[in-house]
This record gives sequence, C-alpha cells and structure tokens, in this order.
Amino acid sequence: MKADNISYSYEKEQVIKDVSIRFDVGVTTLIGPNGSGKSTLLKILSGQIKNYSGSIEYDGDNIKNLSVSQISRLLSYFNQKEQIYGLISVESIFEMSNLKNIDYTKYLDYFGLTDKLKLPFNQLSGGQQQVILVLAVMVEQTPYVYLDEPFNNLDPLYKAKLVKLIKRSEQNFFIVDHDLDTLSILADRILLYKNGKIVKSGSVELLTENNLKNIFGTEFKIHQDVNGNRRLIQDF
Amino acid sequence: MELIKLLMKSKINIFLSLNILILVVFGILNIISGDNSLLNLFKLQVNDYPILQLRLSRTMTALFTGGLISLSGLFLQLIFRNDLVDPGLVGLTSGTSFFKNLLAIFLPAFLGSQVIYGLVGALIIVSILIWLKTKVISPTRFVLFGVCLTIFFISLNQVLSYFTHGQLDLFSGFNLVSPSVTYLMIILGAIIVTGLMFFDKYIPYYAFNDQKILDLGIDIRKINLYILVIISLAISTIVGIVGEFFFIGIVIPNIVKSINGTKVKHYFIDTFMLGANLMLLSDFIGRNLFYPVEIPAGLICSLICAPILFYIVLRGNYESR
Repeated sequence: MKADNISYSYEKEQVIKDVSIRFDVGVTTLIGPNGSGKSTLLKILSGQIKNYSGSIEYDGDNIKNLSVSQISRLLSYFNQKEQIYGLISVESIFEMSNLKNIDYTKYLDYFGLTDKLKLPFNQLSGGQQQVILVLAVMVEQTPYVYLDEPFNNLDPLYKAKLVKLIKRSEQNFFIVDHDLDTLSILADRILLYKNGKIVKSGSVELLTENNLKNIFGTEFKIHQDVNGNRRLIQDF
Repeated sequence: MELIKLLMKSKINIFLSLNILILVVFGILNIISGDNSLLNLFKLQVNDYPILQLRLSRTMTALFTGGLISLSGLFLQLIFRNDLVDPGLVGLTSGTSFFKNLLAIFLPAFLGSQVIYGLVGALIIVSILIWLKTKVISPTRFVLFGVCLTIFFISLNQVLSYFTHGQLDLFSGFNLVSPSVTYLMIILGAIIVTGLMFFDKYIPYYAFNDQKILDLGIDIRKINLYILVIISLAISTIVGIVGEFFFIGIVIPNIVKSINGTKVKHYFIDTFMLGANLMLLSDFIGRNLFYPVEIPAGLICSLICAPILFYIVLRGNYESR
C-alpha cells in the first residue's frame, strides 16, 4: 500500500498534513496522541473517507478506482466504537464475515470462546465482544487489515493471544493503539505521528524515551526484557 | 412463559404454524360469518355469492394490508437502525395520502391512479428520510422528526378536505373495497412481497453499520435504495386502495424480533403472517363487535397496537447503550 501526500481538512481545520506512508509486509503501527487524527487517517487509508487530497494505491491501483467488492477483498477494518444493532448470534457475525469460507472455529477455540458460538452477541462481556469483532475482521482474510484500538478492554490473556495470532498471521496489519508496550512487541514498523504529520518512521528502535516524550509530552522508561525486546513503562 | 420459551427454542417455526392456523380459521370465519352479531357467527349465507365475494375480497385485502405494512415497518427499522420506526409515524403514510389527494384533484382517475399519485408522495418522503439518515441524529430525534412530518401532512390533508368537501377519516377500514380493486391489491402485493423476498438474505447484515457492510463487499447503499422504493410502492398501494394505518408497522416487527431472538431468517415470514393476521382479526372484530355498526379495522388495529407500543417503548430496546 502506498499513500502519498495525504491531506485532509475537517470543518476548516487541517487535520492531516501531507502524510505519506508505505506499508507492505508485517505489522505497521501508528503511534500518537489522542485527537491527533489517527483514526481519521485510518479511515482515509481504508477508503471510508473520500474527500482527501493525495493518492492511495493498493498494489498499483488507486483506491478511488476500485469497486466495493474489490475493496472488500483487499482490506478490512476494525474500530472498537462500532456498534452491533439488534439481536444477532456470534455465529451469524462470523458467517457474514467469512468471505473466503475458512474454518473460523479454530479462532474461537484458541480464545476459549467456542461455547459462545450460538449465543446472542449482546450476552457476551465487553472484552469478549471486542475479541469477537476483531476475530471476525481477521476471518475475512484480506491482505491488509486495519485495526483501530484492538487491545482496548482486553484482559491480559486475550491480549497475549491476540498478539500471538497477529504475529502468526500472514496478513499485513496497520494498527493504531495506545498500549505501547504491546505494540513494541508486535510492530515491524513504527510511525510516530503528531499534529497531523508523521514525525518519524522506522523500526522499534524509534521507541526511545526522548521520541516518546516529544510525541506524548509525558515520561516513559525503556528497558530490555529477557528476550532482548524493547519494553516500555509509562513513568508517572 | 413456558410457551414462549418453547417457541424460542424450537427449530421448526412454531410461531409460523400458529400464524397459519389463525389465518385459516379467521379467514374462513371472516368470509362465512353472517353479517350479524357474534351470536350468529356461523350462520352461513352460501346462497349470497356476491356477499361472499365481497367478504373474500375484503379478507384478502386485509391480509395483504397487514402483511405489507408490517414488512415495510420491519425493513424501515432495519435500514434506520431504529426499533421505533413505522411507516405511519415517520410521515410516509400521511405524506403519501396527501399527495394522492392533491394530485387526484387535478389529474384524471383510472384504476390504480390513486396508487400512482400516492407513489409520488411516498418517493418524496423517502427521499427526505434518506437525507435525514445522513445526518448524525439520535434515534429519538429521528422518530420525533417523523412524527412532525406525520402531523404536518395530516394537517395538509385536513386543509384539502375543506376544499374538496371530502370526508377525512383518520382510521381506514375494508368495507369500501370492491373486488376489482382487490385484484390490483393482490397483484401489486405479490410483486412487492416477491421484491422484498429478494432482500431477505441481507437482513442479518443490518446488525452492522452501513460502512461495515460495505467493508464486507455488499453495496448496502443501493440495497437500501431499492428496498425503500419497494416500500414506497407498498405504502402507496395500501394508502391508494384502502387508507392510512398507524402503529402496526412498529408493533409487529418488534413482537417478531422478541419471539425469534437471533433466528433472523424467520423475521420476514413471521412479520408478514403476524401482520396479516392482526389486520384480519381487526377486520373481523370491527365487523362483528357492535353489529350493525361497523368499526373500521384500522381503528381496532390501533387500539390493539397502542398498549403493546407503550410496553415496547417503556421496556427499551436491545441497543440501549
């Protein structure tokens, strides 16, 4: 995916200023403060917002030239703020998402949610609902997956399992989240984003105390864990 | 309560079977029962063929009316993600009626003309609703806007009735439906039901918002448009042939959703059948309760639906987040 010179204004305020992104293989994460336009950027990249300037190309095709069904096979999108209306079973949600007819029960087995398959979605807890919706997006098996705050509301076990699932998956992920520690384990590429611009882009090594303080305006402590991974702790 | 639990758990559609039974029983009763009080219920008048034919046509019309309005209510509730939407309360029925009356003043009358003139109004109201859907507006305000539209068009209709010296009836019945017009209702009704059946498979998708459905590769914008056009035709058919009805479009889908729970594939047929039955029952009761006075079916129907509607509004709905 290639995004060039994306700019977007909302109610006379320029929210996104000349952003360019390349995102090919693996997990790319966008890190930045609240209200900086990260969710908006995600919506633009996934084709939901159309009145931006600049160009977005997937494998050479401009997204504006693609049909609804082409886009649906190319990318999928998750936002934890999206509601489910009415009574629908968990099974229905997966059936509707199962665009490539895969066996989605193995995802449910992995999370221990197999017994929830026939239940109404509303009967699940908030965290379980969140996991189900993320899994339903992954079940679509699109090459590009956009996740907007997937780790919110997840308990440590679900978080760990989701991290493993994303790492094992062959799909390419673009994730926005505030759980920086989790992102530091997951990310192949990091984009530091502030005030509508990509400030820095690179590997996990970008997560230095200085860089994070510049982005968020608050202190972090970096340390190495037993596997040599860079880990973050917020220093209150 | 046990019966309801049994209904909810069963694999075959018991609710549907019940509805078919009620339909057959009361359909026959409505046709054969003498025009007397309920005491003379089974006094058969088989020699009066024209009377039987009249009763058959009013029964068929009642069934289609109830079924079509209920289906319209179901799809409107799905499209607008709002359990309190009803064609009557969202301005659609009254707007259709107004344009039907207005155009009938200036334009010629022929079989089906009222349906066509009403259709103009229905399409206008549907366009207003589509526009309203693009605005971010709470479900309650949406309903309120609809009620305003309804009262606005009822008032306009009242004004027209002063000029035409016509009778303005708030509640409609089936006693003035002739057999020839019934054929029109049946043909149009069959076309509309067939058209809507094509969209039955999209009903589960309305659990997601429109953007998510697009994400899954389904052009929901076009589908919504097609469904709304068919609903316009349904409402203009009913308003053109019979008249205005309120509440049944909210109440029936809500009952059906409560009983079926997550069994979404039953929504369509159950909604049509329950709506048809309710209208049939209303016609039957209206005809026989205070013989020789005939109470319009729409009035009985509204009287039955209103308390149920109170209950629905008070209990809240599934997406009360």
